[in-house]
Amino acid sequence: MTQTAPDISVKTANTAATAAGLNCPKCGHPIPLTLDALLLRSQFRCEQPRCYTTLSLDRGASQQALEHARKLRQDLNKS
Amino acid sequence: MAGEFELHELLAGPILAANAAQADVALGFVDQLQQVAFAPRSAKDIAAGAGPQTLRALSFAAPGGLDADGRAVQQEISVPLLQLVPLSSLQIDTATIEFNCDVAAAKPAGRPAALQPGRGKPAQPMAVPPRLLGRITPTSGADSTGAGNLRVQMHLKRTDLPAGYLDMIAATHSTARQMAAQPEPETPAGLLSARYTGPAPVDFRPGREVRFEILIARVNHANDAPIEIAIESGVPAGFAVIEPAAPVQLTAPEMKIQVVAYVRKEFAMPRDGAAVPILLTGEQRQPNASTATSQTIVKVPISNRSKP
Repeated sequence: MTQTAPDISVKTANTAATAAGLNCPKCGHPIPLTLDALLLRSQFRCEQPRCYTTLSLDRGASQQALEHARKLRQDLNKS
Repeated sequence: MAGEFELHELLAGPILAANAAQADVALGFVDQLQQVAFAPRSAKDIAAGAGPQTLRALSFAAPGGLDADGRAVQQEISVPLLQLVPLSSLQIDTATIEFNCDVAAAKPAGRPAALQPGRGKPAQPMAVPPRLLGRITPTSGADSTGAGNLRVQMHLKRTDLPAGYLDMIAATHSTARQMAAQPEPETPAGLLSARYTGPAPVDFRPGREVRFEILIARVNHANDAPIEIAIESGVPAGFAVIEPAAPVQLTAPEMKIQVVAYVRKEFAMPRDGAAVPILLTGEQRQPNASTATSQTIVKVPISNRSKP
């Protein structure tokens, strides 16, 4: 088909990612987490009233996983 | 003629291309999942026939309540990266393929197999379909440079994640709940010091309210977070601290506190000297998000003039 000139248009209906995060180890309330927050912050708080448990990210122990999260964000920013 | 294909090939071509594109996207998702979720196997593992893959995980610390001895402990929570990053894939929801084409009919190249010599003759002569050849042509109004126009319009939607993937997410949630209790990191030996500043001695007569002052000071100046201090009676059966009723906040290096206590009627003068203990419990947020607690006791000199 060397003579055809394809005209391709692509529309994405919804490329938003599924909600990511973890559950509070104390009360089970979801603690949402974005990639940016994961890479920039070290403390994440449960927003459930009367809980407010704070989770501290151990960046040293999580170094490899964080590297891949950073790479994933770069890939997402490129696309 | 250039650009001419069997018509069925011409019709199937764009559909097959869309299917191939969908497969490429699915493989891309699997590749991304593999890279984000799992740590690569070591050469040693591969040489040994490769065991199960290890999930990449982030490590969090959180307050873990009290241990059997009543001491505060921290828990370490290992959360798979897979659970924390957004992974999603797209699939083709609808595709519209448009093109104009010239179709030419030609005589079939061969005869149907049933009519081949040596296989017998059919009762009725079979109709031989013509061979259809097609060529994509320019759409009307397009410049006629000899190139045809194929228009493909796709609408994509986020795909439902595969059931196995969702099962894995659910399984990793339970992994995240497996916690190992660890002793809380060492906190400063003491957060605060306190001393009685007057008046001396306090007339500790039963059934009366008494007032005195204490001076509270920070011990660890490296952490300037406020210290919440609860002031309580060291002998609840003998007297009660009425004011301050709520914990006070120490934000400065030191602070004087006026204490009001009610001496109960049952109060008895201590045998080992004329002083009563005031218990101060301080709590302070640490840079590592834990809470440090320390207690100190202030001895308040008293007299009881009602006694001989």
